[in-house]
Amino acid sequence: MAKILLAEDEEVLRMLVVDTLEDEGHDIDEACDGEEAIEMIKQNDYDLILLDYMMPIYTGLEVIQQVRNMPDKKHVKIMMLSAKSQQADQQRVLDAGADYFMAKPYSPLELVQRIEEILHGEDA
Amino acid sequence: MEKMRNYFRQSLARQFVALVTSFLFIFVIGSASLFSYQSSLTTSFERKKEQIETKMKYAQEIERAFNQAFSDARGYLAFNRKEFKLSIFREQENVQTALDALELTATTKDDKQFILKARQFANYYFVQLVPQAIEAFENGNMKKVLSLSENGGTASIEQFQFQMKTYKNKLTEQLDLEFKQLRDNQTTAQTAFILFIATILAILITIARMMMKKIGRPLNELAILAEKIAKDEQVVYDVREATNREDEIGKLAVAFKKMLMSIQEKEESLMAHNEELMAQQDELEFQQAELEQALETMQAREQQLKRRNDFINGLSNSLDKQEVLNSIVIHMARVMEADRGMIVLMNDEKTHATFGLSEYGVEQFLTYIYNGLHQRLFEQKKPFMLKREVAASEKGYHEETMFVHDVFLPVLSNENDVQAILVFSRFGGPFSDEDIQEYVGLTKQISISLQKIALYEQSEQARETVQHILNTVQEGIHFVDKNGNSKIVNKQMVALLQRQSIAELEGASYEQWARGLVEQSDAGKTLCDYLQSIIFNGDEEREPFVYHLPQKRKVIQVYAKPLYRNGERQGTVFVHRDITKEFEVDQMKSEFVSTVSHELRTPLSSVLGFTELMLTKELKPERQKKYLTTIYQEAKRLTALINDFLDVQRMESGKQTYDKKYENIVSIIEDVIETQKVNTTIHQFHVQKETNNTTVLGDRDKLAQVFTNLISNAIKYSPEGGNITVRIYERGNRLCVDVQDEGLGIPEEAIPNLFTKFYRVDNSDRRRIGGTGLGLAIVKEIVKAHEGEVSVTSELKKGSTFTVSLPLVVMANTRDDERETDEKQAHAHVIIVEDDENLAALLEAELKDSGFRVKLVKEGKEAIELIQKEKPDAVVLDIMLEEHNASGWDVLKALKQNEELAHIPIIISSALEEREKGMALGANSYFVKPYQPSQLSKTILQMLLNKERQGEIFVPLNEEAN
Repeated sequence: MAKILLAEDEEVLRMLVVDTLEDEGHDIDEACDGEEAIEMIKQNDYDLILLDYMMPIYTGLEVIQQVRNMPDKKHVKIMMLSAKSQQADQQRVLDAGADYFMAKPYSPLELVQRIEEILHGEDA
Repeated sequence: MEKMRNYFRQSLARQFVALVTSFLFIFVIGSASLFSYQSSLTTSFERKKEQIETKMKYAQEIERAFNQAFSDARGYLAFNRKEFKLSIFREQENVQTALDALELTATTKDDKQFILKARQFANYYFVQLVPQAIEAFENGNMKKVLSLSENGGTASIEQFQFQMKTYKNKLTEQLDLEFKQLRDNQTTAQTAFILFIATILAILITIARMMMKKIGRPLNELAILAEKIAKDEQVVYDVREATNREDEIGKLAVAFKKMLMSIQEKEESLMAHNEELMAQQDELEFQQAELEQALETMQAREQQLKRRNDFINGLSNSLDKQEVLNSIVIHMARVMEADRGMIVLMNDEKTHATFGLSEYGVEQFLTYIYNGLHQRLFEQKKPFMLKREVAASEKGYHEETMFVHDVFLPVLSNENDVQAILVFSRFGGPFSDEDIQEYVGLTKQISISLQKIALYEQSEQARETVQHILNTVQEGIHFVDKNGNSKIVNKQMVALLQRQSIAELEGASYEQWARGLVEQSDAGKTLCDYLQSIIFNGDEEREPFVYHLPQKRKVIQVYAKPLYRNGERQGTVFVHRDITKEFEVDQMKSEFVSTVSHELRTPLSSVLGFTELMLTKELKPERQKKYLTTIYQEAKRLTALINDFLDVQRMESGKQTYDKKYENIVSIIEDVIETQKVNTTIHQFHVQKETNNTTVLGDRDKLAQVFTNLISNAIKYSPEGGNITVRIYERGNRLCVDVQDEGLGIPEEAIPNLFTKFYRVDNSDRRRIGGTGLGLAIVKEIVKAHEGEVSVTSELKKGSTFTVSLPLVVMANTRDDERETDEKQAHAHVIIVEDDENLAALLEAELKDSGFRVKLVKEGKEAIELIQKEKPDAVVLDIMLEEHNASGWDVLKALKQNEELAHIPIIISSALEEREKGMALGANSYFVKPYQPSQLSKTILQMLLNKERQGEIFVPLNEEAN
């Protein structure tokens, strides 16, 4: 079981991801915008952070930049979920400090699989 | 020896040195020997004197000793005292000693003789006499003693004393002798000295004389000669003595002789030359006389040329026509010494300049320009002169008869046309033929000046035309020469370079003109590089360059084309095109695509995600239901999004059709509220109707969409509930509708973008509020299509008010009047020209429903006849009529040509999209099939109402009406 943060402004998508990951036994926190996401990251230690790109207040990109500037959060794993799926967008996200990228619309099962890989990779 | 002599002969200085040296030598030797002789004389005298004095001393000593001895002996004999006896013998020793000393110094015979006698006497006295006397005395033999003294003793003593005296005298004499000898010798020496001095003087005089002879004379001769030469006298110099010498004088003499000879030679040649010159001078004098004659001729010619030159120089170089004419008249009058005159250009304006003329005279001349005296000029194209009596007005105070001379001169163009005429008058005297010829020459100059002006005017006009053409072009055009200087600009370019006028940029250097552009552009350096590489390096292959002007919010594209003349690059034309629109459209397009993609992906993600979960997982029924509900909602959202999106697209591209009718806005709003109420339980709706004029001309469905969007937004953005107030009121000629909520409000900075597609206010309170981001964009488009406006005022956390304002349609009459209108409509007669029976029936039904009287006709000719007969209130005309004898166009033309029928409004109803053509031919309205029949009846009604302005009932109040 892993502790995961989901930052996503669309309520339905939050529901989709939370339901799916809770079924897998993970502990999920939810944030509705960039600001909230940053607050929660400051207060908690997450095994993985899932970030939407287009969010109010701070975009996913801005959140990554702020998190990477926190001394104790340099290595926390971040996955960006974005509808902006072009190569250039993806590269920008990775350059900014995200570890993984998944394009919208994504399959919940694929997401689960990706997360398992990531978390297992960590265990190994 | 010979060498030695040569050595001296060659130099006077050496000779002089030798002479002086020998002289000094002799002088020193002589002096020295004289001096030594003198000193030896003295020395020898001194020595002898000393010798004699020594002898004298000894002689005196001897005398004294003897005398002592004598007195002692007498004392002893008298007093018998022993000490006297001892003293006698002591004196004997003294005598002996003195005699010895004297003998040592004895030199002369006298000395030796004296010494001998002294010795003999001493011997006699001390050895014989004294001892005998003593003995005798001691023996008391006084007699014997006396005898002794008488026998000789006393005599010998006296004799000796005499001898002694003699000797001493001799010595004294000797000394005197010596002294005398010394004096003699000295006298001799002095004489020798005087002789010596005399000799020296003699030598000196000889040397001087010799020098005089050897140097002075030849130099003097040379000096005299030189003086003579200087005085230019004839001189012969031939002194063998001097020239044969080898010393300096000799050289000088030789050189002098040579010089003299060469001077004489030169003088001879000069004399010869001089004679030649004299001859030449004669010839020259002759020639001069000839030349002077020629000069006179030339001066006359020169005077003429000077006048001509003055004239040409005097002509103004200005390109201003009037200025040049003025200058021509004044200078011509000066050359001609004329008292008055004028020049008239034979152009349309008869431009002219005068000198000394009255206004009236000028006017008279110009009035009769084609039939005055000067008419001859136009025919003969030659100058002529008139002599006439001076008119009374010209005479001043003179009474006698006077004459004035008028000269008429044509100025001929290259084509031999008279392009100007000159008239000048002179009171002073007649003009000679030469004068006239000269003036003709000047008119040629005038012709050139005039042509120059004409050319300038032509080119100036051409330039202006080009400038006007350039100014009408929307792009900024700039021609820059290859040195970077600005040559031609148009108005747009001037604005772009931030200047006030075209003149400001004329000839401006690159640094000057480029600064304005580079400063305001965002790409200063690269723009600079771009311009420079083209201007200075002739880089022709550069792609167009795009730069932004942030202050003006403009995007400009510049491209360059080189200009060549005779294969040589003259410069570059830059064209600056304002591509702000294209650029923005481009940017919007890409933003739009990106946003749409995002907006579509979000609901798609949910639909796909939940569907996948349902397909792959065993789910409890309640979860299944929840998912299905979500899927359904998201799919609906997707549909709404796509609908909204398509709406916006249609509206923006102008393809949306509006079915406009007179509608009561209150009923529309009430319907909307009715539907929206269902979606909320926490909001209270209020409608405030503040006017009775609530009719608008609009599409009911679209207006409903406007208020649906506004009211649903009001609900969404006031999540805590509250009042939603709709207020309907008049403002000027507008009908306004406020939709007010008590919700979140909108941040001020967001307001300008509020009606932009997909714009959503970015704040945390709105995160749960869904929406497509298209609602307000749609509102704006619909309102715009209704000639209305939408605006918003808002305060954060207090709520927002959206105001829609539409053109007001004044209900002028009451409901009762409306019935009257219906009756009026019933009287209105409409003829429909349509060959499609179905459509004709449909239209007929619609128009009849609307209360019109309707007649149908199928073909053109028939239609014209019917219209002529019935004179309907309006005609609905199809263009593509089945029978081809007359198309709708023909009908339209025929009606408009007929004065009786031209006023009848014609509404074209056609499948052809040729609105412009129809309107141009005189149609009042144009409907493209298919259209809503109701629209047709509405239009006809409106048209009739407009036509009969006196009895108008419904009048849409446009801004133009106010």
